[in-house]
Amino acid sequence: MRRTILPLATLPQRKPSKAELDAHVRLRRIDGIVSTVQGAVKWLSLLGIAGFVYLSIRSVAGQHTFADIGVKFIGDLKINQGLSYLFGAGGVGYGMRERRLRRKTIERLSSRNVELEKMIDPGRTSSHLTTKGTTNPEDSI
Amino acid sequence: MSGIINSMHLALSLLAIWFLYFYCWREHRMDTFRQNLFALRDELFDFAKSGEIAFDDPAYGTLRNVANGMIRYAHRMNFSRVVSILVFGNLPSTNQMDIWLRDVKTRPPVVRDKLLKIHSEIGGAIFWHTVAWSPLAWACLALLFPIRLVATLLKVRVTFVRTPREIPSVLEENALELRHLDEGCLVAS
Repeated sequence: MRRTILPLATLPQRKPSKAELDAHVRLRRIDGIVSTVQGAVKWLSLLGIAGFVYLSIRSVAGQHTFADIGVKFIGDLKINQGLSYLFGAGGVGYGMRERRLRRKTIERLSSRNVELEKMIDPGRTSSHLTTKGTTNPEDSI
Repeated sequence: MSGIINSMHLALSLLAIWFLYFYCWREHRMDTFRQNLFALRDELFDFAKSGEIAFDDPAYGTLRNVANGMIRYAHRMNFSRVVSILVFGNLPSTNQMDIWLRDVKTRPPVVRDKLLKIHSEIGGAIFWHTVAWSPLAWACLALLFPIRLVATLLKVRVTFVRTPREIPSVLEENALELRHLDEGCLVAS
C-alpha cells in the first residue's frame, strides 16, 4: 500500500498548539542568546588581542616611535620567522582560493543536478542553500 | 625594545590563529558537515530511484526533510546550542522522529535496513559535527571525564545525556520543526 506525502511547502496548514508555540519561542530565544554569546566571544577575543598590542606599545610610549618599532620588527625578522609567516599566509590563501573554486564548481554543477532530479521526482524538496552551497542570508541570524 | 618586538610576533600569531579559527576552521567544519549530508541525501534519492521506496512515501519524505533541515540550519548546529537546548529548552512534543521510527520498523527488511542505515549515518554526521570537531566540546569532555571518574569511584550515578543518540535526536527534531515553521506549515493562531 502506497501512502502519499505532500512536500513541506504544500502540507495542509494547521494551527500550532500553545505548547508548540511556547517551545518555538523558547528555541528562538536560545538561538538568540547562543548567537549573541558566540559573537561576543569572537569580537571580545579580537578586542583582547588589540588590548594586548596597545598595552605593549604603551609600555614603551615616549621612548620609540611607531616607525622605530616597525623598522625594528622587519629588520629583526629572521629568515626562519619570515618563512614561517610566508608558509602560514600562503596556506591560508591557498585554502581560501580552493574554497572559492569549490563554490564556483558547486554553482556550475548543482543547477543541472536539481533539474535532473526534478525530472525523476517532481515533488523534490530543497535544502534552501544558495546556489554556491552557502547559508541562505534569510536563515542566518 | 626586543620585548615589544616579541609582543608584536605574539600578537600577529594570535591574530592569525583568530582568523584561522573564526573564518576558516568553522566554515570548513560546516561545509564538511553539509557535504556528508548531501552524500547521504543522494544515497537516499538513489535508493528511491531504484524503486524500493516511492518518492512520495512518508518514510522517505521525513528522512529527506531531516537531511534538508540539517543542511539548511548547519550554521546553527553547534555544541553550545546543543547544550543550551538540552539544559534550557524543551522541544515541541511532536515526536516526528519517533513516529517515523515506528513506521520504518514495519517496512520490508530491505527498506527498513536501508532507511535505518542512512538515519544512523545522519546521526553520526551530526555527532561528529557538534562534538568531535568542537574545541568547546573537547574542553567540556576534559572537565567531564574527571567528574565521571570521581562519580564512579564514589559509586554515584552521573548522566549528562539520557542516551548516546540524544544529541543527534534533539537536533533532528529541531531541524524538522524549524523547517515546518520557516516554510509556513504552521499558521500563527
